[in-house]
Amino acid sequence: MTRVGLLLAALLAFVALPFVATNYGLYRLNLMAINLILAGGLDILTGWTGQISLGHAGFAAIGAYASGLAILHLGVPFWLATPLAALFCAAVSLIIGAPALRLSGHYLALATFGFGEVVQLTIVHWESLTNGPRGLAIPAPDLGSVRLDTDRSLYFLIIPVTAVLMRLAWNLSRSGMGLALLSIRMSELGASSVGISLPRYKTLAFAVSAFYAGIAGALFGGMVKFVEPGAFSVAQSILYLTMIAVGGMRSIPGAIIGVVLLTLLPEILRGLQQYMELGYGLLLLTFIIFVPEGIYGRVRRWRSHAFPAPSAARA
Amino acid sequence: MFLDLLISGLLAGSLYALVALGMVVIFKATDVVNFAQGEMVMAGGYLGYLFRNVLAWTWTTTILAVLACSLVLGLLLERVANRPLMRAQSFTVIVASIALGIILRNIARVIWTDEVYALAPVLSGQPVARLAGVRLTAQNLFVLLSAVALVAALYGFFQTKLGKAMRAVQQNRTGAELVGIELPAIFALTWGISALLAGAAGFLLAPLVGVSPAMGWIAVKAFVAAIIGGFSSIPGTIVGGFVVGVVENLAGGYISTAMKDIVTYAILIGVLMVRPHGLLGQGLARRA
Repeated sequence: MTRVGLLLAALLAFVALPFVATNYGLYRLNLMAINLILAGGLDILTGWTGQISLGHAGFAAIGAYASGLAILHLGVPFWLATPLAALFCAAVSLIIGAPALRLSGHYLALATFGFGEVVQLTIVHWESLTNGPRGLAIPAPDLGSVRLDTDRSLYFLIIPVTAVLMRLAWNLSRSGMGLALLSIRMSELGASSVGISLPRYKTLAFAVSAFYAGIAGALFGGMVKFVEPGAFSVAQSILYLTMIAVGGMRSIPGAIIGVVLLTLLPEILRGLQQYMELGYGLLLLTFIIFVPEGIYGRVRRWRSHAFPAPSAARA
Repeated sequence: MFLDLLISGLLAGSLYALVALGMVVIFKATDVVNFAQGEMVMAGGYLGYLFRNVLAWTWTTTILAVLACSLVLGLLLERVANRPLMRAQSFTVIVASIALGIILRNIARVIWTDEVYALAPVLSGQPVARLAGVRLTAQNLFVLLSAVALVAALYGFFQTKLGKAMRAVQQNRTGAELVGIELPAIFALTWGISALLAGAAGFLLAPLVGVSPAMGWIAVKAFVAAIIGGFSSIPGTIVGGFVVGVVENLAGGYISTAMKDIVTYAILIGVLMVRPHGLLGQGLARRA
């Protein structure tokens, strides 16, 4: 099939799907798309640059609360509040990341670990603004006069936004900046010896990933119309890390596999709720030790063995 | 008021320092920040509860058994989550330790649920001494003295031949291998000692906060203490533990209880901004 044909088929499937799928199916799809935005953004930082963030749920929380509060109290329209909240996340990431990323080593993991907790604590205790642990009701998103209050209408907002953001992430990874990030992951010493500014690129990658998390948070708030601090724990941040580690880092199909798997897993194993987190831990440990390239990386390797391409020197 | 807060801060600080020292020991040998340290502390708490409350052993046997089991746990964890990754990037090892922490915490949660078990203090909670009007209980003194004794033992250990081999590995891994030091043995030993420190801290912490899967929370405070020490200097880490303990207690007492945790992170971010190499020592930042 040609490229155009594939694209048309995808477009057709995209338009047809909401008329076939159930509401709950669409809700899950939307949720996966939002998780994909977050995981894809985290991949830029973790997969490409080799930096660990344990605070991405914190950025999602800031995105959700900042956009929600801007809509509620300042009357900012949804389409403006979402990118503004994401930009705010990126700004916050500079404050957190700048001191930690000037250093080599894994200071970012430590700093973001604390950051995720601070965000939760702040939301819980700043009751006058956030309504504390009781949570905050957020109005349904609207675009002009169109209110997006059904799962189907949200689908037509969330899926295209996700597609665009993933495309941008893909472009970024293929650009000079993507190569710079990759070289940092491979060897910080090597990267800096060819003139790549480590603090600059690491901070940039962190800011981009925080921006993605902010968008995801704002969309999540708009979709469930209610946010509470418990939804954005450090455990949640680690779950995103698990998603990209299991699916396969440095690839969008990998992120999709990880997100779908770990979003559906709780549904499949519904009766085993108390073993869920244990399962995540085992999954993460198993993959990081035995399948560090993730599911998609493994599949790609098998495929290249079966059908060796003439230019097999892909990274 | 001030002295009360200061004393309870120093008390908490001595435990933070113990846990942080365990992290620093692992970091120095393997270049990895162990995110499962808090769960090793938790294990110490559960072991103490098991031996004392369930099996009703004497305190001496309980303490020895907690230390021995913690050591074995450390060796085991090293074998499972660190040894296979000895030549892997530190990124991989860190993520593995995060996973290890989740696994340990949830094993505890599956077996004992989220319930908080009470472990009686070793010595009575009655005040035995007065220090400038502040009452000190025998248990308080026991915690402080145990922490001091463990740190002293750690110092002593570093002077032995085995301790020197460990320091050699810290300084130059290849060099140490060249002179015949067995890397796997040293790594196992490192994790064992680290887990022993953590287990002891968990045993001492348990009477104060109860035994529960959430005990590992202390690791966050210990991280900050270790960062103040630049993740390298032992005196710096001890000072760091006390700084965190005292500052959080003062903030909790004078500002609000909500500030108690937030101020810890303020210190964390602050130290990373102003003195990333730690207050004392050079820290990991200098390494390329």
